[in-house]
This record gives sequence, structure tokens and C-alpha cells, in this order.
Amino acid sequence: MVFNSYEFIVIFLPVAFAAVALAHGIGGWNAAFAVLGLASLAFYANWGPEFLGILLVSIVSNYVVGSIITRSKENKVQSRSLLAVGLLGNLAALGYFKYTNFFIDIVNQTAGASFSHLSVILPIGISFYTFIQIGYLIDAYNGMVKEKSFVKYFTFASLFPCVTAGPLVLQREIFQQMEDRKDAFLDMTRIAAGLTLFTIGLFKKVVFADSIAQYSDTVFNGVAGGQGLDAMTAWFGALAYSFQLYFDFSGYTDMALGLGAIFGIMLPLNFNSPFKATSISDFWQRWHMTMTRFFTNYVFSPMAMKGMRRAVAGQFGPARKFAVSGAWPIVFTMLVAGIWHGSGWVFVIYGLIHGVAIAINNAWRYFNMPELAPVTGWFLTMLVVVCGLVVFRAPDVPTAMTILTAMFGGNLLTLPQGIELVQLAVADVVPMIVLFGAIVLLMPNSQEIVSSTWISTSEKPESIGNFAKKMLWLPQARWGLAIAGVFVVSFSMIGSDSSFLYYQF
Amino acid sequence: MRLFETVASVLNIDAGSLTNESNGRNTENWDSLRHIELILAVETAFGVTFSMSEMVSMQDLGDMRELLVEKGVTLEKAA
Repeated sequence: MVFNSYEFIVIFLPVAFAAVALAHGIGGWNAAFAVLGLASLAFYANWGPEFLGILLVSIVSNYVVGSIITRSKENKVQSRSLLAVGLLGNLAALGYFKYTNFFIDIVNQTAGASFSHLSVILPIGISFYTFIQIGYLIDAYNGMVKEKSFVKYFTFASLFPCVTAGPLVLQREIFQQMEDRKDAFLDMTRIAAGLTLFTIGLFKKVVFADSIAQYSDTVFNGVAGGQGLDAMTAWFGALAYSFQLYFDFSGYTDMALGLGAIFGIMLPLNFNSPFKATSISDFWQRWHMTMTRFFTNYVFSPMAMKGMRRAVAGQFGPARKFAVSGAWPIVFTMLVAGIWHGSGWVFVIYGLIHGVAIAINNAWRYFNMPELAPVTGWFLTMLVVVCGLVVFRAPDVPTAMTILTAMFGGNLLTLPQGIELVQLAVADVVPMIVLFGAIVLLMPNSQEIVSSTWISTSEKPESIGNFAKKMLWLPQARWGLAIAGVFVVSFSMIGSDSSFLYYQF
Repeated sequence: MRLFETVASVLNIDAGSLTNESNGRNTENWDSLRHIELILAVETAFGVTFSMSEMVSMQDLGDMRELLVEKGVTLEKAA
């Protein structure tokens, strides 16, 4: 059951809302959180009983390990060993479900063996709920977990707005909202803002992402199937996919944040106009922001800190200091982030491209090189992002290489001979690319539009642009009507088979 | 040495532009790498060490000041 489906919108959402509201009426917020946990279970169970079993084992075992770590914080050896057990357990489960066949491929390629693939299921959201709970274990080890209730932990780890594709929430930002909660459940302004954000997200997904998907599919599937292509088709395919993923993922995120607000749980921002970024570091502060935060806190910072201490102790020169405390930690972090997305060499290369690009970006600032004009920075950033996404979308490395080669004029003089060329409806895709480009670069983003009622745990921006002020959503009848119109259009366009792209990660 | 001056010298900016609310999002040159350098500079300047959890939980200079006070550092009022 995806957010953009009739069964979710018509059945699950109203029933879950009524159940949680009723629970709140009877037993206050604590009862509401418990029923929200049960509703999340029902939501997740819809993907299949075997998936539900894996989620339950994960939640119960992480809770048990986390609680013991918290209790044994005076005994560093014990808590450190338990943390190691917890991390290994989570990574082993993730490795088994997600990477088994990739390991088999590597073994086959390097050792010339011919092991066949195992039929391992990939539980939906496993990368997300595993990492959310790894964050919990590390926080427990660092003495940062205050909450002890299993019911609240259960709701936190299974929360249906985030369990399938994020945001990657931190324990403290959810548990803080569960402490001594006294406000009304039926806060109509908060709920209206949540519904508005949900509707904007639904529109982005079913109207924008799903309409441009066919063009990126034509190019990527065509090339994977052995067709050739010219530079223009390659660029249009790459841009079509970039916009598809943008609207798919930002649409999902809007819906997740909106759903959280409807049920009284604010979530962190995950998307903040990433295509307006003027540097690659800026891009990662705006795209999948909670993933960046996770990897910065738990991978990059500890590595960089260690490197920096080594550099100071060893009195390294600036270049060596930057290499051990800046370049290497960021390349390694992005490599892990790339592999986190999925198994396959394309994700390894995707991570490396971004790691090297951020390292160059950081070096540029670190060594006080002259600042680039914003438009130059934006152009270089988008070049890395779009090329990176070609690798990210391609089913294998040769497909990615064929498209990238075509994009940079590899086929300019002589088109591939003797093979069929990808046929793209250029007259249809170009207006879409222009329209979507204008929207992502010129329009205020959805959280700016609903910023009159701030429904996120992230800091509210101090000010919004003039355009955003003109489009500012207010809990008024005319806005209600406009959003109802957007909803009707989106609802009528819901496809029967349109999952979110991030569900595969 | 005053806190804001230490921070300003790492970030290569004017100490007068810093406040307790200054953080990586609203301050020039303060990226994740400078953040690490900054913490190390503050550790050296005030003779303290920050744990990983303290490093991650520091949201702004106000938090850093509170942690320093907790560690027994005496800061000048306007520092």
C-alpha cells in the first residue's frame, strides 16, 4: 500500500485517523501514540506477513539491545560490546537481505565461480528502519536516550509516514514530542497544513513524476536493451530521470511530513529545493537531508575528528591535514552512502562521484581558492548531479557509460551503426523539461508555501522570498478550495502501479 | 581566550558577527569540516575534550558555551 493509492487515501488514512483520534479522546496522547503504532503495523503488514515478521524482529531486538546499553552506560566495556553486537546484527541483516546477490556476483566475477543467485526477499524500507534504529543504538551508547517505554519505541521505529522511505528520524526528535504532550489532537490548523502538504506531494508524484517517467524509461530501458542514442536523446533522458526522481522523492517527502503533522508527529525536513544548490555540498544540505545528517553525524564526523586529531598530533602540513581529515572521510562516507542505496557497482560509482566532487568542493574552500560565481557553481553542481543520476538510474555500468558517452559527444560524428536508435518523443519531453526546470528553479518549495503553520522539527527559515509570501498558504476557505481542486486532479490521475522510486532502496 | 574569537579565527570571519545563535546554517564558512576544526580549536584553547555525542548535539555557539561551562571553564560575560 503506497501513499498514492486509493486504498491508502480512501480506507487506511480515514480509518487510522479515526482510531488514533478515538484513542486520544479516551486515553490522551499516550493512548494515541500506542494506536498510531498499531496503525503503522497494519500499514506495513499490507506489504506481506514475512516483511512484517522481519520488521518486528528488528524492532524488538533493537529495543532490547538499546535498553541494556542505556542501563549499562557506567560499564563502558559492556556497553561498547553491546553496541558492537547491535551494529553487527543490524548490518548483517541488511547485508543478507540487500546485498547477498551482489556479493555472489563479486565472487563469481573475481574467482570465476558460477554460483547462482539466491531468492532473497528485499523487505521494503529495511534500509530506512535499520538506519533509524542504528541511530538509536549509537545515541543509547552516547547516553542520549531518555525514553524507556517499549510502546513509544515501537511507534517511533514503525511510524508509518517514515518506515518505508524516511525521513531518517532521530530518536530524540520523535521522543521529545511524546513527552508530557498536552495539546489537542484535533488541532485543525495543523491538520489542514498537513493535508495541504500531503496534497502537494501527491500532485508532484502522480502528475509530475509519473508523467515524465515514461521518457526516462524509454531511454534507459532502450539502451539497456541494446539500442543506441545521440547526444540530444541522452541529455533528455538524463534530465527526464533527474526530474522524475526529484518529484517522486520530494513528493513522497511532502506526503510523509504532511501525514506526520496530521497525526501530531512533526518530522524533519528532507528536501529543500536541491536543484537551486550552488555547490555540491549545498546540494547535499538540500537533497535527502536526513540521510546527509545521518551519515555526517555517524560516519563523517567521527572519522574526520579522528583524522584531525592525528593531523594535529603529527603536525601535518595543510595538504596532508586536509587529506586525512577532509578528503578521505568524505569520499569514504559518500561511498557508504552510495552503497546504502542499493547493491550493484552503479551505486559504488555513484557514491564515489559525489565523494570526490564534495572533496574537491571542500578543498576549494579549505585552500581559499577564489569563489566561483553562483551561476558557475550551480552549473557545475547540476552537471555532477545529472551525470551522477545517470549512473544511479542505469541498471548496470555499461548502460550508464553508453548514455554518458553519448551525452558528451561520443556519438556526435558517427551515430552507432547497425543498431536501432532510441526513439524519444522530443516534442513531448522538451516542454515538460522546460516547465519542470522553471518550477524547481523559480518557484518557492512546498514547505515555504505552508510555512505559515510550521509542521516540521527542523528550524523554520527566518524569512521566505517575496514569491513565497505571495503564495503563502493560509487556513482559509479559498486555499481550501484550491487544494481540494489539486487533490481532485491528483486523485483522478493515481495510476494502478506506481510505487515510489525510493522504495527499492 | 574568548570563545567567539577562537571560533572567528577558525572560520576566518569577524568575531563581532557571531552570536549565541550562530551555527553552521547561518554562518559563513562554517561547513562540516570547519566544524571539526572549530571543535578542536576550542578544545585546545580551553583545555577540554568533547565526546562524540557532545560534538553531534552542539547545535550552535550557545550550546558550545553551555558545554564549556559544564566542563568548568570560566567564560567572560561577553565572550
